Amino acid sequence: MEIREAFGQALLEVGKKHKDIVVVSCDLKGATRTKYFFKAFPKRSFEVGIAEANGIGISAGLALAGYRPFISSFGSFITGKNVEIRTSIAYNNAPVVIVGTHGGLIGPDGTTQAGIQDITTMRAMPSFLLLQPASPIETVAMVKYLAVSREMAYLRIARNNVPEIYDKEYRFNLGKGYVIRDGNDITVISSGPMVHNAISAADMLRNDVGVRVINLPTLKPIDKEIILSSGVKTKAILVVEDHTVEGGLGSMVCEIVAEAGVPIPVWRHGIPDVFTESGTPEDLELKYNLDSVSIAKKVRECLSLLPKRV
Amino acid sequence: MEDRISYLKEKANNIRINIIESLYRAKSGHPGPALSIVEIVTVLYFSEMNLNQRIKDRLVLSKGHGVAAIYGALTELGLIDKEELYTLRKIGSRLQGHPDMTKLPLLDAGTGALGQGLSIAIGYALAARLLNSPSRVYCIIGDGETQEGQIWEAAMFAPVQKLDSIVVILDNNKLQNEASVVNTLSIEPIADRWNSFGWKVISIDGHDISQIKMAFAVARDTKEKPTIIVANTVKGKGIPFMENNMAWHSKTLEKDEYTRALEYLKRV
Repeated sequence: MEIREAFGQALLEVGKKHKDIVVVSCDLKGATRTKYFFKAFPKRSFEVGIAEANGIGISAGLALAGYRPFISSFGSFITGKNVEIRTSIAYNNAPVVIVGTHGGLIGPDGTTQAGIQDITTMRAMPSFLLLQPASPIETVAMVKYLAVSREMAYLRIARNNVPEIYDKEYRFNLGKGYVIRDGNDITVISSGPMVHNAISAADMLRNDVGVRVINLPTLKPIDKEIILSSGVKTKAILVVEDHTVEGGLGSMVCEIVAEAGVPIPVWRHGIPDVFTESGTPEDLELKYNLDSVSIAKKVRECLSLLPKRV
Repeated sequence: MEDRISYLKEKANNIRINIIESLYRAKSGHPGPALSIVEIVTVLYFSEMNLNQRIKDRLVLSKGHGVAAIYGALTELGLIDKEELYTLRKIGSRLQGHPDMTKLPLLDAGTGALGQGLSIAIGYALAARLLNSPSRVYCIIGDGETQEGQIWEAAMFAPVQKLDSIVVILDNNKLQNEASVVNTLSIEPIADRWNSFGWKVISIDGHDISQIKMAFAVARDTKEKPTIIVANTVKGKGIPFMENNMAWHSKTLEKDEYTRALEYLKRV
């Protein structure tokens, strides 16, 4: 299932229960899947047209008046409105959820529509949560959390089809990472759809390399504890992300490891400092070495750079 | 009625004194853009707005740099004391250089990056409609501020939603940060532009208290569309050496200027 589809259905469900939830669309109800909420709750739905800045301000006003607005657009577009998010929402501590869909390697629409700098941009907003689900169950759990929270949040949603990795027992704990695979040789940290490629890579390497795979659904506040304990355990960390390596998850992990003073090498493996291009998501993963085979190769390359272990 | 007008005139003058006293002590700030909105702010706080918590009217100062006028009015209302007024722009103060509602909850929005307040006001108005609240929403914007694209996104949206609870007051003081509006990027014909977007437009002398009160009354009677009051004002109004003088957009008051300014105001 596509994560955006899980998001759209979850938003509809929480909308039934929580009458304070309102939704703002910037002419992308279909693509961001807020269309289900719009159909069910027309009075609590606002179409602002292709005017994200106005939509951000309106969301801030609705939130300050007591509502819980979700405003959605493509991540690249909505987080591009930096000064509007900064002043109207963040500066006012207005409890708005900004939903940025089409994060990462989105496909043939090309790089203008792809959210590949959105995490870097949003992590500088004071008090904002940064969340990114990896699976439909995680998406639903996150939306339920956001429905009752009064925190400001950026929810990054991928367009990719993803398999499920969790079951009904899954509980979303804000700020907590999750161990998906355990291993002793290297930790691979990821978030969102790239978690699945990391898992496949770990499974490919299973016979001779122990890969500990960590999913971080909360990017801010980040789970320092799981990063450091995993790093100490495996002596090496590879961060995999469908986002620029400049200021993304890899950068966050480097900061945490460096400040903790633990001598663990960290490799950032994501989109280099370039714009991506058109192509199928599969082609793009191959081009940026983010498919599971390339990630497995990268793991071996990282391990080969480590001093030989006795 | 006459008594009421003279009462409001007295309040306006006191607010001007508060502006001068606080900005002098702050040794920085924006006197001109605060002085041009004094009568508007006075009528809003002392006559027009319902400040009752339950159905509170909202005021969004989109031109956040004029905030000294708001602090001056809140002081005159007794919601801020003089001692705190004099902390304006100093470390640890609730009175920030541009409005910060997280520090000063008396404000309905923090602003400062221009062009954004009208959208926030629309959010308040939509919320009031959902709640079936009679709450009205006032938004003060600058004339130079209408050069921001977001203003026109918002201007397009409010009439489509028939938001008749919104009243925008355009502080048409003809000067912006570096030069006159007309020599920077002309916004004319400003009244026609808003009219063509579907707004009820009322042009007034923005320092004439009777005209301001009248315009708000017309706005209340205007149904199914939002109202904009084009308030023709004078930047630096009330202090002769500041009036229509670009330099006083943002300038520190020296001791003698402070004394002269207060003399003018105390003579009124």
